[in-house]
Amino acid sequence: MTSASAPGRMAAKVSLRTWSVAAGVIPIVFLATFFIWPMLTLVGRGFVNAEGFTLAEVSSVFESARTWRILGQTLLQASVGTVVAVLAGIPGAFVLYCRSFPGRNLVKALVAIPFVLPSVVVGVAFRALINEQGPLGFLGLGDSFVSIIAALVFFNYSVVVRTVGVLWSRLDPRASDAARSLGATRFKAFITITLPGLAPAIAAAAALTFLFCASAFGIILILAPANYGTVETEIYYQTTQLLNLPAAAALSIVQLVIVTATLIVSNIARSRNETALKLRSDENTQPLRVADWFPTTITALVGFGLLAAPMANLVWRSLHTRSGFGLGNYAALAVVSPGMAASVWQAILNSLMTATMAMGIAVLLGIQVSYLLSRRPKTKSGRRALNLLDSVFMLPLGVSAVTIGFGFLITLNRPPLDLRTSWVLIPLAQAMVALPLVVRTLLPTWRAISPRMREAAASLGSSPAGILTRIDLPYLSRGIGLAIGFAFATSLGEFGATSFLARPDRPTLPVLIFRLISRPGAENFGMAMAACVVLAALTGVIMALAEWIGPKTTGWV
Amino acid sequence: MRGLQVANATIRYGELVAVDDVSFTVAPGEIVALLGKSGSGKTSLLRAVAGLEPLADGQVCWDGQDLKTTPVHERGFVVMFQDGQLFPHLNVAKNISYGLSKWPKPQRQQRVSELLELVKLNGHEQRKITELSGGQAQRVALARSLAPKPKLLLLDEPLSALDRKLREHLVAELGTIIRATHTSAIYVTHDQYEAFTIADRIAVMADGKLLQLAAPLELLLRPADRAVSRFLGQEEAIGSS
Repeated sequence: MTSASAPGRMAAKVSLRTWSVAAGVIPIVFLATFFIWPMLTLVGRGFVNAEGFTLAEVSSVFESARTWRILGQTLLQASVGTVVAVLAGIPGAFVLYCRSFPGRNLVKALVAIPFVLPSVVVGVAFRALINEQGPLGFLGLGDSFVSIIAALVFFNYSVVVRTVGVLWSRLDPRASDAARSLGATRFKAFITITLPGLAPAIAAAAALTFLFCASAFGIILILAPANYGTVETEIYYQTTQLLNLPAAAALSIVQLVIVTATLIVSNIARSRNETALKLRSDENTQPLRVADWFPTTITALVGFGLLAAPMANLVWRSLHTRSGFGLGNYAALAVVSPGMAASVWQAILNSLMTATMAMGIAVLLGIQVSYLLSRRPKTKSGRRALNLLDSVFMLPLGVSAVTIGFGFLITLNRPPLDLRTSWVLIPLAQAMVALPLVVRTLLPTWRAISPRMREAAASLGSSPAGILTRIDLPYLSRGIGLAIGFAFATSLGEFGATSFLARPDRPTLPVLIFRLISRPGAENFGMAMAACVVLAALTGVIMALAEWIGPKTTGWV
Repeated sequence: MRGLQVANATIRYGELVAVDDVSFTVAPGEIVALLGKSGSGKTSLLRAVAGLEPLADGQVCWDGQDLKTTPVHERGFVVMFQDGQLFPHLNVAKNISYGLSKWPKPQRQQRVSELLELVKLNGHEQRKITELSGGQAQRVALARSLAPKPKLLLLDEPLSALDRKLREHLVAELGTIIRATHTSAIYVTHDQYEAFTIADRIAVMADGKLLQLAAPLELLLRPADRAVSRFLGQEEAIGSS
């Protein structure tokens, strides 16, 4: 143990500070340039007309009955979707996280896949299930509210299962055992003891699901009946079809209010959740028993009926062509069909390239942001600043991807930053959309490193840089697999922002699929289904790998 | 002057004075216990010696040299925490050799087996941290702390997380091991039994102040004042004399 010279010590201190500052400044500059600036510019357009600043344009939007109908539909859709997802997800959380059975990890990995499936794939899969040719065609659901809710629950089921399950597996079962021994039925013990214990996780999952349901875009575009719209699709409609920027701006503000309110609720729930998680660090699982028939039945019904059936049907129907059963739809993927600028295979290449770049950007920034957010400042103002930052980096999760895409188009089109013709815009927008997921995935990993552990390492002779490489980074490597998977899958399937930014001659796969289904003809829909199978398979493989490599208990908190 | 000298150490958290003008020394090879209730300032004082907490006033010196500008990792004082803080991503051997990164590999391996023998865990090199019992984990934590031959070992309630029987057994063993390696040590505890078993001298602390620093026997026979005798639970026996 030798003591180093004074300059050496100074260098170590400076480099740590530089690192901390860089960790904060780079993502903030990035967020400001590629999220806040485009969004404010877009919103600002709504308050300006030929005479200058005005509220007239925006207030006229709020006077129209259409706006209120759309707002009502958005809130109803999000509320119903959330309630159904939570009710369906709670039994699943119990079966998959508190009970053990052969193949449990595989089932967990499979259940996680729908959440990252591209929205166009889900839209096409549900349409293939309920349209006139589909196996559920006799229900006459066609394009309806019910099919939208089914698709939303399909998406968000795993959010509920994961978030609630992680907490449930750590609840001490002896509390409910005590209630049982005092004469409570299984049901009563569940309602009076277990459910209140799970409340923070349920609230957090519900808030997140609500956000996702309120801002769904691809699904609505594909499955919505005539006259149906949400704030998100309305922004798209007003900007692209009517070029009515004031309306889009007003709706963006409405969306921002919804998102902010939901994030506040979610933040409160989350901080309570994290305190609760400290109670127990080991998982508590028992073998599945006959007495668990009720949650098991529900989980099986949801698993097969809602999650597996649409995907299986999609694969099955993609093998049907006009000339009969076969691989015709898949063969057509290599061909540039008339009116299309690219073949599906070319679009896949485009998608893989942009998604790889977006993933790189999102993961690099996500590592820095999550590191910053995991700090525990000693001062009250420091903690407050960090909480604010936490919420700001969650914003892209709920703000319309459409807003991001359109904001890019009207901001990054002139010096100092003229990227209008550059395809770099797409990965940048996709990275913005993926960033919150990366941050949420990595945060629990950073937070698992206690300050004491770093102190122990320092007292054993590790410099700040040494602690970073020998403690922090090895720890991070446990969560990074899942973060990479989420970033890649999200970018690969991103549709809202990309639909604005993709050049006609270089579409990404989701954009091309949407073009295919927007055209009439069974061949086009057949090709779209085949392309969806390929896209879903790509995404599924990526996520299954990530889930398999990554830790098994990262919560969505 | 050899060993550790703490002079007029004062630690403040905002308005609160956690440690108030405390001075003491630790001679080479000596074990000094800091004994006090929770909130008495003993852990803050230990953290200040380690360099983990800044001093509002006063000095921490080693061999007469002020350590004010020496950061934690260059002091050569190793902290052993209550819950061990073993690194869960490393196995037993890699935890113990964590502080030996500058040693050549053969010596490192030899040192690890030496220490495992010392803490009676021979052959447990490849065990995972998560597979250790509470007592085993604290033995590994001790081995890890002693491996780099620290100038000073700082133990922060190292046995508090264990049950009473194991604690009484381990504290004697801890003392034997630390003495065998001729390491100077500060042992923070709220438990009189531990302090009296392990320490050459005991510093009794309350409300951030050092009430008395004396050898165990002297402390019992000649407590400096009522506060000390009350703390030691001997008020009746001594107060009436």
